Amino acid sequence: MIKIFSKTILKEYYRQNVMFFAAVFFIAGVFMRGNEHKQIAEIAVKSPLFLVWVMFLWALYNIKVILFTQRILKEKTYEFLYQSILFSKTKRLFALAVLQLNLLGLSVGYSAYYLFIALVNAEYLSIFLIIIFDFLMIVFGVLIYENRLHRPNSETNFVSLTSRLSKHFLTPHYLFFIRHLFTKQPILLLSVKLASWFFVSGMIYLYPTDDYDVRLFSLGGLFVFLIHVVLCQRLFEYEFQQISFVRNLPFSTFSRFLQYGLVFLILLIPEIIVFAKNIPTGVSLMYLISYFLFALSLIILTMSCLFLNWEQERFGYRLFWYSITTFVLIMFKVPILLLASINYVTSFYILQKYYYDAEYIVREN
Amino acid sequence: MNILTINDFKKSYNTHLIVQIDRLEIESGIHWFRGVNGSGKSTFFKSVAGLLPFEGQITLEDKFDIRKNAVDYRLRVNYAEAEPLYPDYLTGKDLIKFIADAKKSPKGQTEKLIEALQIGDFVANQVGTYSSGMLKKLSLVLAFLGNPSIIMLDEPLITIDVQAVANMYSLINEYRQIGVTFLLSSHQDFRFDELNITKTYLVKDKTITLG
Repeated sequence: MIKIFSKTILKEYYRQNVMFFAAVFFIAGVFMRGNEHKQIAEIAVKSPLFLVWVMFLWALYNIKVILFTQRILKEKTYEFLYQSILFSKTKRLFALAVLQLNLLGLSVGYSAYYLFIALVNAEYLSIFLIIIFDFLMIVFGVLIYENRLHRPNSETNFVSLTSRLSKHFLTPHYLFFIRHLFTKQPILLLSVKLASWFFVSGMIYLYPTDDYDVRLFSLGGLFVFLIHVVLCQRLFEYEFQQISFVRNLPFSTFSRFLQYGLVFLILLIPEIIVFAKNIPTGVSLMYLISYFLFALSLIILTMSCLFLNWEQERFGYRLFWYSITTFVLIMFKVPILLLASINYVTSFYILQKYYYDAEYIVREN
Repeated sequence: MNILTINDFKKSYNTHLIVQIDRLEIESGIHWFRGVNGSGKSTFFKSVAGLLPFEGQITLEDKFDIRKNAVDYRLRVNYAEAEPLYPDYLTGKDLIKFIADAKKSPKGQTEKLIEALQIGDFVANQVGTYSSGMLKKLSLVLAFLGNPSIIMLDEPLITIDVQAVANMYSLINEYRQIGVTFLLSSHQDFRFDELNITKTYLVKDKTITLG
């Protein structure tokens, strides 16, 4: 049973969250040095109150993991997993505990580091708290999964409400994917929006504090784009797995191009509002528009590039060099509207040439 | 005039060859593609529908190339999957509206199809609440939308009840009268008795031959 949970839920979780982990390791590795991690850990283990805040972040990660597993268990493809209730309770609970431990690898691994620091500093209360916390996180997850496995068709009030509303309202097709994110991947959507809000707010806050020019915003736009890459990947997978019929629909390349643009423009509305409401002195409305056209162009180009080759390794390689090149061009003060125009033309060309050549086959390792 | 012309067709997954056809000309009519599980019927249908990339050429009515005239071609070629899968939070109405708009469905067509395939009772519900038979009926409605030249129905008889089969036959005959060509597939020995089958093709040994 451990093997089947591992092949279905665990493997799928890490496959779908490659970009999330890349972003976490990038932020943890680039913005903080090793000794800074150590200093924070030392402060945390010496101050239980601070440790509780750190644990709050670990708990958020646990919620992300649990919601993912719940989503997988709702999918028809994985309905066979409900057969696991036919195994003995001990065996099933053990398998679920192993699953939860592996899913929580990131937070448990980081907490192990805190445990080590607490041991070195002989902070016994923190040692106790960390062990109990990790234990509770695993037990909490196991109880939720166990409950779900015994109630395969449970319907929450929220689902029931959306179901009733759906009867009366039509969902326009450009909202299909956004509904998918709200319904199936709310934590991913929330994480992306929070991270994006962090960068937009950060640059708005930084801009007046020193002699920065608008390149600061352009670099912020680059970060906003990088955060949204994961949504491009989800949309690509979604199109192939959930609405594969769209490839049979008579849409021109321009129409498909506009549809992707509209989806991501809607997704960028929170950032546009935050920026527009806090626009710093000296930054024109025209710049604000060109700024979001630039961020959107980066996202659309990435979306198009997935049709060239969506496999993680090649896509990541291409994304890396593309980001570095854009970074350098921004630093050399190449106008962002020019960059945006090049991005739009390139993405249109790629969609025109490669859209129908793309195929989504998940290879078994 | 051939309704569909296929030249040098080859479809593989990675290096595994699924179907290879040197030349196949399909005339107007109702055609039955027979073959066992895994013979490549669905892959062939999906390629013709434009869902899968392949090597070779496919031309509709001697003028619409699947790649060069991607929009015109897709406006005229409809397809219903053997085991349809749609996002469970959408309703049948959401999907019908979307595809009807894209395929330029004439006014009143959706209502007529909803009635013909008797899906009115559940079409406003979320797809996640549908049984496999209800999903199949929805996919059939979607396949008849617009003004297609070809409708491909992959395993149309599985999971639907006797009444729905009768309704589908009557729809096929009705559309056939206005010149629509049908490509039907089945792995079982369904005879499509109610239909006037023009030709039967055998999908076997990684190719398609008259059978």
